[in-house]
Amino acid sequence: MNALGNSTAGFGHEQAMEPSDGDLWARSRTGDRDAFGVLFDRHAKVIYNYCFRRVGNFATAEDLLSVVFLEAWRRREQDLPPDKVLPWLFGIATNVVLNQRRSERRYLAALGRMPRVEGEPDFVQESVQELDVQQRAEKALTFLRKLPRREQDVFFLCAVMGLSYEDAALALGVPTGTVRSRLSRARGRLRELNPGFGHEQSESTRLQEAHQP
Amino acid sequence: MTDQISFPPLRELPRGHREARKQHLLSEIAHVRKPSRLFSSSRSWKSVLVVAALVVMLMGAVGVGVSASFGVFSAYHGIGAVQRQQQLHGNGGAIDPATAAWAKEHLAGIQLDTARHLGQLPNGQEVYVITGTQNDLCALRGPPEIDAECGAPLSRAHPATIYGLLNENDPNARWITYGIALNGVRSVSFPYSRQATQADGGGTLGPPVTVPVHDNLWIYPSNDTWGPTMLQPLTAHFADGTTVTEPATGANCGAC
Repeated sequence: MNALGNSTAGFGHEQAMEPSDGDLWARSRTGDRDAFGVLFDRHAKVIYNYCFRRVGNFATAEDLLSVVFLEAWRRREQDLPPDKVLPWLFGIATNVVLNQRRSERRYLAALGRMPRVEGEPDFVQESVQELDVQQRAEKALTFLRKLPRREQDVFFLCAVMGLSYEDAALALGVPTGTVRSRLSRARGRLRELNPGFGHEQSESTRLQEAHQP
Repeated sequence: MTDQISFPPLRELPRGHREARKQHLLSEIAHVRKPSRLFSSSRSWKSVLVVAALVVMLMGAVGVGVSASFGVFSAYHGIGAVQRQQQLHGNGGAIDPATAAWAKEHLAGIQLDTARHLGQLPNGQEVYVITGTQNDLCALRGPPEIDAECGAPLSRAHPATIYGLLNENDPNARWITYGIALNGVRSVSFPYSRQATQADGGGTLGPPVTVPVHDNLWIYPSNDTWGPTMLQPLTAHFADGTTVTEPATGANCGAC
């Protein structure tokens, strides 16, 4: 089966003088909180958006973002390939979303200590726009939730978030071929649910648009 | 993609929220000195042992054999073909070295010495079953291209699996559909649903097909370039005349 051009290009933020994810993770494993903080800065946006797209609610997505990184810290003995920190975070996020209530319960006390950020949202207009965005996301979620859970995971990672097959496989802990077949099956199922699926606009095109700042 | 799957562009956290979340995170993790592990000092060995003892007692109470439940080969229950003589390769195992190396790298918790050869696909790939610490039943195929599908072990309620692959070595790129079946299953049948092999639109339903099972393995080499959608139910026909039909969204679809 052919690849879909869904590489993670665009997520990486490495520049010449900046430490790589691998370096930061290695330092985090020794207890370096500053290094872990840089990883948070680097990947918070994409993990936050992934959580939002899975649950359809911005406030919940923020809490889940915190849970993902708290969980990553808890598991910091994990040895990771240098360029696979983000896929691994996606894997944690997938499990956190799957076990949302349990995850939140585990970190209930920590989340309870999260200070309230004053002044947001400031404007009624902003709230209205946010509500509209959430409603759109909820509509998409309602459709995608018709897929079996494992197909949903692959579809969100590869087609919605643009991970490569290899990175999605690492995130989910399954073989690359399984990712490919689940994605193929998901597309077939979506096409049966809605014959228009896949005709109007390719997913990669949609994603390229989605990744525009 | 239709309007039904339209997510907003990636956006930043609301103003001030990211920094607040980060400071909160750094504050919280300051209290966590060591990574959590199963037997870390924060957990009591006694509590773990008590839970383990309770589990064993419960299993005894419901008549579950401990050895059968924990045996690494329990995933092969009902697959008689694994008992036959296995061809041994240079590494002394039943699996060729290239496929073994791939499985070791890609399948978490897999135990290579559980691999058993079941048969060969029309494209020359060997089919193995393999399992490991997660007790999944994995169908492994290769070489030269190597891939695997893992799912629940077979049972009377879940008597067969179905997998599909696009034969990339075939200049006509035809699909091969295959699966593993429980002892006593003579054939499997499913409506062969055609779909485009690439994301270029939907397809039409093909005719139902019935495929015989040999040594727990069934293979359907289709003659066209349309693949199975795996959306159709799979029916197992037992030798005693009974049938079991599973929707493809259930356990019969290792990759669902």
